[in-house]
Amino acid sequence: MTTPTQAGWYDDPSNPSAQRYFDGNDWTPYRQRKAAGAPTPPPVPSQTAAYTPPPTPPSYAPPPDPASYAPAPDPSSYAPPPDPYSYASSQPPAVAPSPVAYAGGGQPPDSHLVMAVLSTFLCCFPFGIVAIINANKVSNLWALGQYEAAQAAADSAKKWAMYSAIAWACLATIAFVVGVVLPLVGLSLLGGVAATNP
Amino acid sequence: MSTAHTEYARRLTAPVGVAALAACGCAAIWLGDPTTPGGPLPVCPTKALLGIDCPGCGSLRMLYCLLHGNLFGALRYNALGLAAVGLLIWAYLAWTYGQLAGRRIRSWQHHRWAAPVLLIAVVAWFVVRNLGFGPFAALYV
Repeated sequence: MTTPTQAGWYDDPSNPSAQRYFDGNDWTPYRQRKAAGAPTPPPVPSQTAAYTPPPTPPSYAPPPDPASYAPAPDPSSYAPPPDPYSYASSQPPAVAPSPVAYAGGGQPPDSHLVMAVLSTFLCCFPFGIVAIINANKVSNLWALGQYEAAQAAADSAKKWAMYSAIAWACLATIAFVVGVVLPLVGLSLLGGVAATNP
Repeated sequence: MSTAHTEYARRLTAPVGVAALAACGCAAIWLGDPTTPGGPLPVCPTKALLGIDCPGCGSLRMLYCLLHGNLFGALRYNALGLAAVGLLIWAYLAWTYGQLAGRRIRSWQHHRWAAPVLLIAVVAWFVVRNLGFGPFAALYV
């Protein structure tokens, strides 16, 4: 993918129906729907179909009908065109946009399932299970159109995976102190007592 | 040319960091030898407090066996954990490739059934390895 060089709204490489704000250095979380006046695209059952890459048009020619969604241009051959669908195609906004609603039909947020699995098997298991349960909710909520709830579940999954890791670190520290440090201290104290009391 | 190199280096920072962390963990497991009781590596808190095997119990010993090329030992200590290691490596490789390519690579965790299947597998594994009779007794580690 060619990364844009200046700030502005560009086609979201991961979502053909949305645009994403590039702040000049990096992609921000801010997204907007491509077509301003077009009907809201139905929340695509995002699980499998949403991941098939859009067909690459041989040349970027936006169709005149604003109701039909143009497939996104292939990100690798992307040149910032004057996009008739965008709110602000040429003028980059002076201030960062407010976090507007997620573009319907996009991809669900990262459910942090990998972190949840990692924390279940290698950290504190009960918290890890809570993380997996929350990760499990994300795609269902997203498919139902409850984008904020899906985002909240994804955040919750991440939080519980972190809790799992923190709990494991705390318990490992306690185990280390009880199992290694205290016996060493005890031995040295005993040694001192033995030395003073022959 | 040099900017392209810098760009790739920037994108690879996070994957290299994760790999370094994993290598540190593997080194600790190799040196700590969790298969010999009484070592410096802590016992799973669930097992220490309740005396039951959690789904992750035996993971350190499983990784120790895996590091020594003992696949059967790894299966014996935590078969589901071994499968999880495979999934984690898969996700890591897909993520690293995605970082390099600058786009999201579809991996197993994006599949519709990934979370429910994992949830069921983990809970079933939790039950089965604590049954303690017949062929299931061997699953308690």
